[in-house]
Amino acid sequence: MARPMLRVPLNEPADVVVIGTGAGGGNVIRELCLKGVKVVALEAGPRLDPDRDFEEDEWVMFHKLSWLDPVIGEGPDMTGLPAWICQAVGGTTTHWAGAALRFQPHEFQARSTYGEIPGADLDDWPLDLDSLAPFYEEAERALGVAGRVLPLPPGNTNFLVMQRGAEKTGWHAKPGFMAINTEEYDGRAACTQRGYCFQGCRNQAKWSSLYEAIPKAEATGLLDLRPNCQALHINVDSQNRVTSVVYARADGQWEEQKARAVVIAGNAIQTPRLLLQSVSGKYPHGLANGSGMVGRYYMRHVTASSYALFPRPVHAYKGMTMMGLVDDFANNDPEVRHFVGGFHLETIMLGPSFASVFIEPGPGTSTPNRRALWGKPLVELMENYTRLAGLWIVGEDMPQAGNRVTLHPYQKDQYGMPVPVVTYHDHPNDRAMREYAWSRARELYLAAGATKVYDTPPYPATHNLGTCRMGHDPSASVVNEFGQAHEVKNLFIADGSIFTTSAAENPTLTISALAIRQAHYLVDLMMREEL
Amino acid sequence: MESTETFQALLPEEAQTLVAVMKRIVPHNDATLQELVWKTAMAYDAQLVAHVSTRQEVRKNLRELDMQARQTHAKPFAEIPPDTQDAMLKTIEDTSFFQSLVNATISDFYNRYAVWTALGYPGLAQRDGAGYLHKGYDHLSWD
Repeated sequence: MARPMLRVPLNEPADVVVIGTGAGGGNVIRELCLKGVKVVALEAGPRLDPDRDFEEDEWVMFHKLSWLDPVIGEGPDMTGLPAWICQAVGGTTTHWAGAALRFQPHEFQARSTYGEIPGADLDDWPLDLDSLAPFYEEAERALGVAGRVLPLPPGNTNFLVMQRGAEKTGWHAKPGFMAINTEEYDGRAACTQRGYCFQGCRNQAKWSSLYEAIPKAEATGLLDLRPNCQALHINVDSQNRVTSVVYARADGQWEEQKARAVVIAGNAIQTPRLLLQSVSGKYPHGLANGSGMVGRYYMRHVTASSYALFPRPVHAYKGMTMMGLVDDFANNDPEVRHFVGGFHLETIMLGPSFASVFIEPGPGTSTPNRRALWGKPLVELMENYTRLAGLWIVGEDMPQAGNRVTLHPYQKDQYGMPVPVVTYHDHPNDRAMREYAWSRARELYLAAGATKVYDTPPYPATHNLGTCRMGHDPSASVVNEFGQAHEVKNLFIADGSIFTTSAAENPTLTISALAIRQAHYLVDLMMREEL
Repeated sequence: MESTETFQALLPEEAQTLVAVMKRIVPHNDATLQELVWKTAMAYDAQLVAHVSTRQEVRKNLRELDMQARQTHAKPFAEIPPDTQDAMLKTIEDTSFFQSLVNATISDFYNRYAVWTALGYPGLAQRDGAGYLHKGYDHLSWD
């Protein structure tokens, strides 16, 4: 028998209020509830039912899952939608592809490894791979990572093409570590290779906090989950302690929930936005922002794609979208490549509509100087849709102080809150990496027999990182190694915004490991009554 | 055959021009695909009903294009040869009007199930969750 849902009264302090239910929030919520902590979770989006609400339609799911409230992009790199993140219970873990890679050891020491890079403010993380390794293992068990706790994923046709090219060029294509069930695991079904990873997994084979962490937390009877509730302001008292969170319900009504501690996990755009708009006498520049670092060092990875036309059918849309990768370029080799940091080539495919829009995008969905494919060249691409193979480039981008999230001076959202402005410019190192990666991808596909290769520019950013940097020095970072704010001891951040540098790996597994580590630390503090 | 009578935001002549432009954005030879452009045009027209400023902008641009065709070729845009249409569109291809229209056209057109079928994409068959597990997801026909 299911326990009755917990309802924490507004004027009774919740042990912890968690804002956001994606990879960061979901993992924190699960761990806290399993350890007996009462949690109120505020989620800006709705709670969807995978079987009823997930559809095999890219645009329908884009509109059901995405954060579509205004976000303004500044800088030359991206028009239209600067970032593609989700607003739903489960956050972007509903939409992610499932790639669950650990960082490489040197990526925690970016400043020491890469040295001084002009225009970038690299730093070392305040923790290393050894201290995170046990939590990577916990995260891999919780998420069900193939290649770690389950058999590696089998290769789909898109991967077989990548493998063919890699064999000819002397590189190595291998199945990736994927948080997708290659057999039944943790009460969830095995993947049936539908190829709709990005639209939400109807079979619940791809990990999402929506149907793993949240139900487990609810089963303890200690989770009060409030969907369609957007956090607007965090209050502090004269002792620098967070006391409550003000939020708006779907009906427009505002509420104030008292809290003993607050964990923010709203992603690297909404988290700094919430801190910056939580202005008080003590924190005139935003909560926990004495350093002026909140919002700075916004990173989104060096991304791009390559799509290749083949003389014979590939049907690359079948199967796990991102199941395989080439990581011959993931190491740091500046002597040979003339840039620091590495990148991966990961299989990817879009459905027909997104393929037509994004393979050669126009100015509305990419950079202002682009021209969308139309007419005969478009028809050539689309009539050969089943002969396409594709890969995604994902690599480390440089943290730059001017790449940041700020509040718009006068533009407000439906709650009267300032709209976030996202500013991003590529660093010369980023551009060099992207050009190099495109060339390698072209080489790989031509070796595999491609007749045409498209250099596809970045999609709206799905890996949003930085903006509440983790570090030892309170004057140069926002949180410590546990994601605890230097200035506000009962305030924590659990999403990708705490990344000191971006590393070359898809971030979800690292966000999850850091969130689990944070939850353990939080419980320790509570046991010792230090919170 | 569809008719311009059913359009709500655009007048019949504007609708004719719109359909003609969209047919050049996705100029498939297949007759079924050609006819499906009407559905996309009607969906676009329906969106314009609610968006007054976009509607005014689109109508102005469609009328200008048609006027230019009449002045240079003595025929409405919809009735001049495809190559001539392409040449005219080439001169406006970097305008925000045309780039937005391309985006609206292809995101709707290539998301239609009938178009998927014509392209050989069996996406709809995935509704039962059964997937491609035993249906060749791991077999390249050229091996």
